[in-house]
This record gives sequence, C-alpha cells and structure tokens, in this order.
Amino acid sequence: MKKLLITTGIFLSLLFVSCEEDFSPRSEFKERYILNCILRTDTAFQTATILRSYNVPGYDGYANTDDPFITAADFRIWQGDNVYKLRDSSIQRSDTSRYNTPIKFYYLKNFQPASNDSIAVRVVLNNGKKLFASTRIPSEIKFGLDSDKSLPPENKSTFIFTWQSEELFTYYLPRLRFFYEKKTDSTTTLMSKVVPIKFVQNGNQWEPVYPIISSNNKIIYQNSALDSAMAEISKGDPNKNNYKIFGANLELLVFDRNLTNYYSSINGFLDDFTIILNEPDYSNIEGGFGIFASYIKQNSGALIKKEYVESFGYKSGLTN
Amino acid sequence: MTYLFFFQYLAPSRIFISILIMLSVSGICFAQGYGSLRGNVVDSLNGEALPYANIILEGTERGATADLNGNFIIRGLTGGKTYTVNVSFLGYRTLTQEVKIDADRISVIRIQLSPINIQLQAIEKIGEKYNRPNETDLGLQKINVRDIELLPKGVETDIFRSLQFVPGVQNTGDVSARYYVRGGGSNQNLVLLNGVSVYNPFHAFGLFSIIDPEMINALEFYKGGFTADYGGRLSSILNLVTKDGNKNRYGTSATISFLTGKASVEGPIPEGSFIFTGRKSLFRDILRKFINYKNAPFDFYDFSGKINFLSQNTKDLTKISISTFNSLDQIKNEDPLKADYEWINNIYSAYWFQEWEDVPIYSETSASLSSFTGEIKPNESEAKQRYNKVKDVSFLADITYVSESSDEIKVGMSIKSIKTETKFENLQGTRTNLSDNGLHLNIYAKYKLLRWEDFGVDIGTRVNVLTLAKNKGSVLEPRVNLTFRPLPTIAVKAAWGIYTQDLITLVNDNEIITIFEPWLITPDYLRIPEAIHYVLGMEINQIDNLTISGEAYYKFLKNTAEMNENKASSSDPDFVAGKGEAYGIEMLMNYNRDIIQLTLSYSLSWSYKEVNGWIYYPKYDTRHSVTSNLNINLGNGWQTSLSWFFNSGLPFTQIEGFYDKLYFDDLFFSGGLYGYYLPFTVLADKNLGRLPTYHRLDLGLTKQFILAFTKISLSVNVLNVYNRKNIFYFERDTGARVNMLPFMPTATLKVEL
Repeated sequence: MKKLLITTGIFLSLLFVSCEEDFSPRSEFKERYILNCILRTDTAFQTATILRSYNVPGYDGYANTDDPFITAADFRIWQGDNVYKLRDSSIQRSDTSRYNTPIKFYYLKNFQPASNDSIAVRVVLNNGKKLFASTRIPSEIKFGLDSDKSLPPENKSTFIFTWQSEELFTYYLPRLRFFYEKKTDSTTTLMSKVVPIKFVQNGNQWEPVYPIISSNNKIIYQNSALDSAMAEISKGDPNKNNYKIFGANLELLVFDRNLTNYYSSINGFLDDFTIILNEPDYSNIEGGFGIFASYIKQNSGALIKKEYVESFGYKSGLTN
Repeated sequence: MTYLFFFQYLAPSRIFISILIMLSVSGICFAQGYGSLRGNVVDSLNGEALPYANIILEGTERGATADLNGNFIIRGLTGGKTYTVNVSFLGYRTLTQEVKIDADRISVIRIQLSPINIQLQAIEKIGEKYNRPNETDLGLQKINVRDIELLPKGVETDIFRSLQFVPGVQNTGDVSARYYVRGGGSNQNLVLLNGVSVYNPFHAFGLFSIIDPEMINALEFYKGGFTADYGGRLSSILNLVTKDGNKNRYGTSATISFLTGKASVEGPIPEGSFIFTGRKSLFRDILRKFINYKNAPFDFYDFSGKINFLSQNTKDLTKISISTFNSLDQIKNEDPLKADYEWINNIYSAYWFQEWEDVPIYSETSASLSSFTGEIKPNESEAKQRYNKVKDVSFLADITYVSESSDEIKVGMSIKSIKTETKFENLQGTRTNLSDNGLHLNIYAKYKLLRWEDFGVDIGTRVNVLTLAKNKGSVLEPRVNLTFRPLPTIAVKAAWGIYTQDLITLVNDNEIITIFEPWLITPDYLRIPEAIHYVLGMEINQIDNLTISGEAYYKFLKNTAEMNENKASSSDPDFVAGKGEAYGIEMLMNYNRDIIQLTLSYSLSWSYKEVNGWIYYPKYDTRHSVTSNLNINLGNGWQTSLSWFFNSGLPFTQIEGFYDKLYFDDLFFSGGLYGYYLPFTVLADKNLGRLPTYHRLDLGLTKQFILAFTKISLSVNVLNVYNRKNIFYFERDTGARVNMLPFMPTATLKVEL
C-alpha cells in the first residue's frame, strides 16, 4: 500500500510539473494589402484607402503604431471605356492615440456614378503588387403606391413604406426622420429626429428598436413609436410652442451585393453562444483584402397631419 | 461498352447476391437429430434483461452471449442429452442449471440471475466470459450499463462521454459531448434509442447527451465496419436499449447532482412492466464553467416512458413495448432585446419482439415517430433567425433464422418517411429556406456463417430501393465482416463495407460551439454521401482475464456535404461536395480480475478533408490518443475509479498577422474613408497549427449502503485532479487563452426505494 501511494505521488508530481509546452498561435508573417472603396451616388466626391497588413509581437493589433496606410499607388477606376485616376491626399487625424500621422487616402472629384453602372478598379502598388475588383451600382427602387402618405395613418395602428426593386438580391437600410425647427431666444435650428419602428419593454424600461439591414422591401412603424418619437422631440422642454414640425422623410440605402456581404460579415452575429474561431472575412478584392462596393440613397416624404402635430403642443410647418 | 458495364456494375452485385442465396440454402438444409436451446436471462429482482450474459454448456465448447434483449439460442446440440448450463454475468451469482435437449425440438429455459449484495467484502467470481471463437464483431463495442456506472461520474454520468474510452472515438474537449469516430464528422454518427433515430441527442449546446444513463439497460457501439442491418450513417452506430422496468415490485429512485435532479418510477403491470424517468436541470452555476454567457437562463428536461407487455411460456415469447422520449432545452430571456432558443425532441415508438414457437426464428417489428425542432427566435436582438424541423416516421421489420449449423440468416426492411424544414440566415446575411420530404425504402439481408468453430463471416447487403435524395447514390451497400482464429487465443478479423447517408446536416467547420446544426435531405445538386470502410483487426486472449485487441482501418469518404463558406447570395448553394480520408491503428487492453477492472486504449490516427480543392485536417484530427480507466471494488459498498486521458493537440488555424479593417456602424453617417478601422486578424492556412496536448485525470469514489430499506449511493468525483490547463481555444483578437474545465469536485446522491 505504501509503495502504491509513493508511486501515485510521483506520478501526479510529474504530471504537475510537465504541463506547459511551447505553443504559439502565430505563423510566419506575410505582408498583405487592403483596398477599401465604397462608391456613392449621392456625391461626386469618391474616396478610397489602401493599407498594408502588419505584425506585432503579441496578439494585440492595437500595439501597432506604424501607420499602415499606403500612398503613391497607381489607382484607376474604369466606368465603361472611361478611365479615371485617383489622387492621394491626407487629412488630419482627430484621434492620434494610435497613429499620429495624417490619414492618407485617395480621392476622385467629379465622379458621380449612376444606377446600373459597371465600375472596375485596378491598383498597382509601388512594389508591383496588383489589386483588382469590380462592382455594379444597384438599380433604383420604386416606392410602392401602397405606402402611407401621411401620418398618423387613419384607422390602423401602423405606418408602412413599401418599395420594389429590379434586383434579385439587394439589401436595404431604411431610416425615417421627422424634420423640425427648434426656436430658442434668438436662433432657429433645423433638426431631425430618427424614428424607431417600435418600443419593447425590458423590465420597467421601454427600449427603442430601429430598422436593421435586411432584404425586406417593406418597413412598418408602429403608431405608438411615432407618438413616442414625436413626444421625445421636446422631452424636458415645457415650451412646446417653440417647435415647428415640417414633415417626415424616409431615406433608403440600397446596397450592392458586395456591400451587403461585407456589411453582413462585419456585423456578423449569429447568437450569444456560438463560438466561431475562423471569423468570415468577406472581400471582393482580387490579390488582397477589403471592399470595393457601392450604394444608392433614395428618399420618400410623408406629411405629418396638422392636428396630430398640434396635439403635442407643436406648431405645424404645413401652410395649409 | 455493355460488357464493361456488366463487369463494373452488375457482375459484382449479382455474384454477391448469388453467394448470399447459396449460403442461405446450405444453411437451411441440415441434418436431423439435433436439438436446440433457447432462452433469456434476466435479473431475479427486477426481471430486467441482462444483455451480454454468458451462457456456457459445461464440458463442451458451445455457448452463447445473450443479445441486447437478453435472449440467446444455441442450435446443433445432441438430441436426448442433458447439458449443464452455466450462466454468468458481471455482478451476479453464476447460475448452473441442467437442461435436457430433445431431438428436433427447441428446449426453452428462462434464467433469473441474482445480483450480488453490494455490501459484500469482495466480488464473487463471476464465471468465465464466453467468447464465441468465430464471433464476427470487429468494430463492435458492447457496453453494459454497469460498465458505465463504474466510470467517474463527473458533473453528470454521460453515455456519450463514456464512448471516449473506445479507441477511435474522439471528442474536442471537456465542453462538448459530441464525438467523432475514425475521422468522420459528428453528424455521421447514428444514435438509436430503442431502434429509433435521435436527431439532436444533446442538452445544453452539446455539453451533455440527452440520454439519461438511468434509463439505459445496454448499448452497442459500432465504430466502423458495421453489418447490413444498420445503415443511414457513414461512420458509427450507437444503439441504446432502455430498461423495461421492474416486473416484480414497485420502486422509485431520486438523484441529485450539481447540475440536475432526476427521478424514476417503475413497477409491474398485468403481463408486463412500466418505467418512467425524468430529469431536469436544477442548477445553472455549473454551466458557467462551460459556457461564456454566464447568466443564460438555461433550462432543460428529458422524460422517458416505457410500457411493456410480456407473454412467455416454455415455447415462445412475445414482447410488446410502447415507449416515449421527450426532451426540451430552452433559453427564454425576459429581455426582448435578447434571443430565445428552443430545442425539442419527441420520440414515440411501438416495438414487437416475437420468438416463434418450435421454430428457430425470431422477429422484430417497430413503428416510430421521431421529430426534432430547433429554433432560435431573435426577438428584437441582432441574432439570426434559424429554424429546423425534421419529422421521421419509420416502420422496420426483420426476421432472423438460426440454422442447425449455428449459421444465422437475417432479412429485413425499413421504410422511412422524412420531412425537413429549414430556415436560416448565415453570417453574411444570406437566407436559406429549404423544405423537403422523401421516402426511404431499404431492404437488407445478411448471412452469418458460424458453422466452423474457427471461422465466421457476416456477409450481407442493404439495397436502397428508394432514397430520400433525388440524386441516387449506391443502390447496393455490401458489407463483409469476418473472423478467423488460427490459434485458440488469437483471432484475426477483417471488415469491409460501403455506407451511404442521405440525411445530412449543415455544419460550420469553424464553430467550436455549435448550437444550430440543421438536418436536411441531400439536395439535388449533390450526390449522396458515401463511405468505404476497410478494417483489419487482431484479438489476443493469451492470458486469463486479459484481452488485447488491435485494429487498423482506412476510411474513404466522398460526396460529403460541406458548408459552402463562400455562399454570398440566396442563389448560391448551401453545400459543396467534399472528400475525406482517415486511417490509423487502435489498441485496446482489458483486464478483469476479481476486484479490479483496467482498460487501456491507444490510437494513432490521421484524418483529412478536402473542400473546394483545399486539403486540411478537420478540427477533431488528433495524432495520438490514450485513455485509461481503473476501477477497484474496495468492498463494503466502496468503489473507486481513476481515469486518465491524453490527446495530442487538435488542429487550429494560426494567426499570420493583422490589418486595420474598415467598419461602419451606420452608413447614414459614415462610409468609405469616414468609417473607422480596427485591427483584424489575418489567418494562415486552415488548421495547420496544433494546440498543446490535452490530458486530464479524474477520480471517483462511490459508497453504496442500505438505510432503512433505502438503497443510497453517494458519489464524490474530482475532475481534472491536477488542474491541467487544457486549452479550449484562444481568442483571435486578444490572444487570450480560454481553457477547459479546471479542477472541479462534484457530488451525486442517489436514493432508491
């Protein structure tokens, strides 16, 4: 028995002292290149960035303080037979906690792509490395005739916008805002209030829920959410008469497929429990990482009824 | 061209069927003047069947091992002779009984074995274990519920975790009961409960199996080379048979552990018995050791019920069982900004076993409904909505004939009507909405040639008459399993077979905790996944009480359904076809003597997957694996156990570097240049790195005693005795090491009336 105890003790001791091994989660570093360019149809000034990957001694990427942004690349965009060359520039960085150099970027003036345009990009870096990508500007959508035109809607509890698209796989991000004017002693400020689609109760609190990116071609606002947003405009201010409400506007971002995939991958969240080790890193850049994509923005207005505005104590911006 | 087609496809099938027919005819036509012995072995106190009990005819080389239902048949005995039958089973007093065998008749004995008093100082000699020399059992592990009871219980005794003592079975750590067999995915393992498929056999994200060991009487585990009576999966079969309930008196039991409370009630009914067991999660604290989300309002339960009607006499036996199994796992948040989760299994089955009067035939017939629903309800959270439902209505029937020469013929058929519904959104926001249904009609036949003492063959085939998937795979699934014993103490065994699986799951290889693995019928654009097993083994029984066995295997997988990681739009396929390959050698040593049971196993293995032209190690590939378990009966109701596990490192994907990735929370306010940039890891080639080795020591000590007619069992267990910091994974963004279970003492109290 004594021998057994001694043997067991020695065995366990060996196990205790032999637990740590050499282990590194790192492999050999290879330099990679990243191109980011998201074209917009609501501006004629397009921007892009090019970066290089970096290495740090530990696992904390924030430890890198060498500016990875790259300039002086040959950066061209093709729109049909037209070729445009982007220039590099820089702007001051507001947050210098990590990099204290200006932000380097590329830009192209007077370039406003239109729906359905096919655009390609080619970048040749100083070291000869090349990056390629292409995208197609999404088609314009048509707002549905069955969309509500004024709010609050009559005889129903929801306010609805609908739209149709020729695209098969397009994602949308809607945002409804109330536009209003706030008058203080001597100034008048034009402001807007983003409207949630609904409020949900969490314990004793009511939490707003805002639209998320989705392929749904409809957005539904509960009347109670409209009421709450309207009331919040002047929350804490007893002088309701200082507010003049003009109207509501739905802005709709229509993504191209590349942006949809990229946006989804960076906001990729399955649930609280799944553990994914190899996080998806969507990119449509040949020869590197990053994104070359586009989106369009469209608007649809809605009237806010005068009696509804006045029920909150506000003035109506409607002339009739 | 025609001849080529004949030789390539038709000829092998016809030759194979011809052999089967010839063997069948030769087995049926046999000499007259012999008698047979048929019977069953049960526990004398509760009437529960004793699977794998040993039946030996003294003074002869003849004997049998009881099957999963405790039944046996020995044919070809000399008519008019009286045989002395020794029946033994671990933990029971050996019974000796004389039986006269009549020529051309089947003599029947019903054997009741008495369990040994738990408070005896030492275990009595349990009798010799009968090993039929020509048993074709390569790749088969028969595990008795008493074997499971001897293992350290950990937080909760778990049948799936006990499988890791079988060489060739791999898991990916303490935090999952999922198992991987010889390089196959976890969805390639069929779990049968009373012959019915269980589609989601896990509680709590896979931390524990839903099979409560309290309700299980015996199990068979085929880790490869399984015979023609099993099908539908590529890698392994776990066949669990539940208890029938006490046929003699009413009894109840209650058990409480650090995780669950459970209770059972059982007793006799006219011409039968019943048993109901239930288990419910009670304490959430222990789950904090396992999962990241510390405050999850986790809740699960499982319930099983079985009612049996038994009619037996000296000529035949009829048994009808009706059983149910229901389980629910849920996370129901009060906060509407958090998602809710729900997993439900519902299984209902009816089973009829018949020993036919005066003929050496028995039949099994069953009808069942097995459904699984898994749903993630996002509510107002950002979680992705996911839903899967599978409904399986099955009818199975088979008949087994045992010839005078001891050869066995088994033919059977199964009809499965399966409907699946699947809706989910992947990480890239792309939605899938698939619903499908199909009918699977399968017939199978096998011939077990056992007439020669030193040579046995189990040869058969499954014929896929109808498949769930429209794109058909192999019509025939031929299987061969043979044993040759050149010396009394040495057996050489081999197995080969083709296996198909037309019901698949969508599993993300990159997830180490998976909570949604939907079942789907193989889509039209894929061929049915198929595997070929080649196994060669050797068993040595040179020393009394010591068995050493070794197996070498090669498994080839093709058309495996792998998740399409590049799916970017709804029109892209969810799956791509993959290939796989696995090979290795496995050693198992069992030593059983008096109060000591020792099991040692070692496996050396390689496995690979090929998807989209990339070849990589799957996440469960480990080169070396060692498990050991020592049980000592200390007497006076004390039992101790010690288990040690070792695995060489599992694969993982290394970090190659970092880059600043563009993020934007809200494109209304930002975009392009005006987003923000955060460090993001650049990954190296998939799974080329290796985590550190895993090892862990568990200890268990159990005391059983009787107090005022109440049987009490108190177990104290210590997991990870020397607090080895086994890595589970490391976080990509911080490099922080997330370890598996630390040193953890647990206790379980069981009270039986």
